[in-house]
Amino acid sequence: MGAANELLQQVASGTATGCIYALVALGFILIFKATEVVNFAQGDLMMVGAFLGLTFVDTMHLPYWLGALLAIAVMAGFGALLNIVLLRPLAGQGIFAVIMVTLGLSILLRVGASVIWGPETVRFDSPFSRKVVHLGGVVLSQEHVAIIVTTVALVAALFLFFRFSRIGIAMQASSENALAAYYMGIPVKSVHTLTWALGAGIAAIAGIMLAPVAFVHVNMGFLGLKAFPAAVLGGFGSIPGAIVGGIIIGIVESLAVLYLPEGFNNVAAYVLLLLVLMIRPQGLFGVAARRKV
Amino acid sequence: MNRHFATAALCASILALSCAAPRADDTRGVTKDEILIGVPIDLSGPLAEVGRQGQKGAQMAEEEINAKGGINGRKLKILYEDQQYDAKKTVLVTQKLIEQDKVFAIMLTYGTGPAAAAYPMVLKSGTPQVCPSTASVMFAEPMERLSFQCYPSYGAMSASGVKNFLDKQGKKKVCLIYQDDEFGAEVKGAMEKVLGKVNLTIVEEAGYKRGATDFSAQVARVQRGDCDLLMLAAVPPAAAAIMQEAQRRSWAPTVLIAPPGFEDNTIKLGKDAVEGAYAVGFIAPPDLEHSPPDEVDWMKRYQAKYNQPASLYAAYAYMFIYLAAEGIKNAGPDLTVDSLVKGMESVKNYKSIFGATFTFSDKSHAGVTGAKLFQVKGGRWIEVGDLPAAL
Repeated sequence: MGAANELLQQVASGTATGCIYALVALGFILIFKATEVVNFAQGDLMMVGAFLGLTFVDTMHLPYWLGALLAIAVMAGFGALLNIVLLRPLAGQGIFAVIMVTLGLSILLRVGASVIWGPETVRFDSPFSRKVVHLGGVVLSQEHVAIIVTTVALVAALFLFFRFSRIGIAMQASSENALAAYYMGIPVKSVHTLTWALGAGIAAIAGIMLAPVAFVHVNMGFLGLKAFPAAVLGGFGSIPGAIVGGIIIGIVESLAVLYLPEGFNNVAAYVLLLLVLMIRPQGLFGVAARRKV
Repeated sequence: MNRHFATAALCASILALSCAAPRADDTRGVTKDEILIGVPIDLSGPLAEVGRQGQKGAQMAEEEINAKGGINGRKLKILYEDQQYDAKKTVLVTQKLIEQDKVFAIMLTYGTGPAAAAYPMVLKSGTPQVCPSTASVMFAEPMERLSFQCYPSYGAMSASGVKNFLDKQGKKKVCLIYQDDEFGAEVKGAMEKVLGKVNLTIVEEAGYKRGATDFSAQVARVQRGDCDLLMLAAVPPAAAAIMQEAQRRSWAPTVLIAPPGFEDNTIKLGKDAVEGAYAVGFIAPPDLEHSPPDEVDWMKRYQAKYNQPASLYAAYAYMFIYLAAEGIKNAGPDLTVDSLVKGMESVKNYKSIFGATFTFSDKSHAGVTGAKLFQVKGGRWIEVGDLPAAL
């Protein structure tokens, strides 16, 4: 394989992995922006989404797309429920209480999943599994292409939703200033619940897309840890930033394995993160926050 | 004068008592009719499935041994503590087994990380550690008087496998994808040794972090080396994912998988992508059609007892309890830590029903060398043959 094709191939698979980071970071940022909750369980919501998809498709034998949609819908409902039962009572409490609750939720989801679905790693095929696309000399797996296409479609849909739908605009308003939005007659509580539903639904999409590539297991949520540097790289709180940050980290990791000496590749993404933050402390897309003292 | 004499006599007798060789009655965890063994094991957490199978295998051996009257008149009693594959927890439960339950020996501790974490504490307490459930070389080298390793090491097995392909199939360009931890380093070190003997080196290598999801870059990297043998020092999900990636690229080198990847799960996850791959292992997975009669008989008893098929992990635990029982038998009726060490060291050519043969000595506590070569054929592991030790 030529050097150029090799590079293109790696950029493509890095982009696919980066899209997964981006989707987790996206759900994470949506929830953070709207409710100021840092949801450490975002990766675990992804894991539960993947297991639900597996249950609907492989165990209950529903058609793949129906099973996947059902898993996303159930996760969205679960996200809404989490907000109502766990997070809403904490309104007004300190940030540590909220962090402890989401950390606790993360452990609970892992233990719960292990009890329900068992600790073993399982395979979850999609209609794209084991198929490839030839583009010139580059061989791309359909699973990777599907991840990239889904991410682009999802981001476009979210853009339109926030830009043009009433509820999307209401969500933006309450994330800018919840109190002012409330005074304007926006039902902020419902908006928060809807945001959690959206965040959990996106996590489920990420989980279902990742499953055929990386299998389904209780600890797949740890991948969510990569979503944090992605979100920070993009500028914490910026939605385009989360997407771009995730994709950059995916590509850098992938190229680092191929071109850097053994040992350096594991730190490449973090070195990049530090460099970006040294030059642009607010991240790539972040708005510099200034506080008068 | 008399009083002085009495004091001196008392001192002498105390001294004599304390200097006398310890007897079984004084040995922790050993009574007239019972021997207590402690097992830190995974009953919940990520390796719970493996742990539960191991527990069943060990229980079966314990019950069989006790039904035949025990060992030198003493019955075995095994205490299990859940360690949840968490090294911190392993240290705590091992400490509890030693200090509170006062067990005679620690056995079967599951996993390299957990067993390694508890190892210094076990040795320091003067407790024998017999057959940890890990093939790490650290439990045999450097040799510790109280530690007995019953697996061939990951490195030794991998080296035997690589040497086989160098000698028998004339492979020259060997590549490696490895998990970036102690296990991966052990396999890599052993490969370098065996290749170094014939003036070869690893042509191209790539590491991955445990829990990685995408292996396309690792595969791309070793593919550049144009190797004819690809060694995978990987756990089952990673080995399966790496071979899927190679299949996507229509790249089909001869693949050799190191021991932790020699498992049914590698086939279950990788399906047709792993067909034809080789692996080095220690004993063959239990198989009703292909296992020898003694083993099939065991599998049937296991199935009848637990209402589920016997697994490789049940076999290991069953085999190791019997192996330890052999050492305890050799120690004689006066069972102490010292007599157990001598008893284990006098285990020579002990053949288990699963085909492995164990020999310990006062020079080496690595009970078994060599390995077996397996290949995936028709969606199952088929034994290809025995491999001699290569290091």
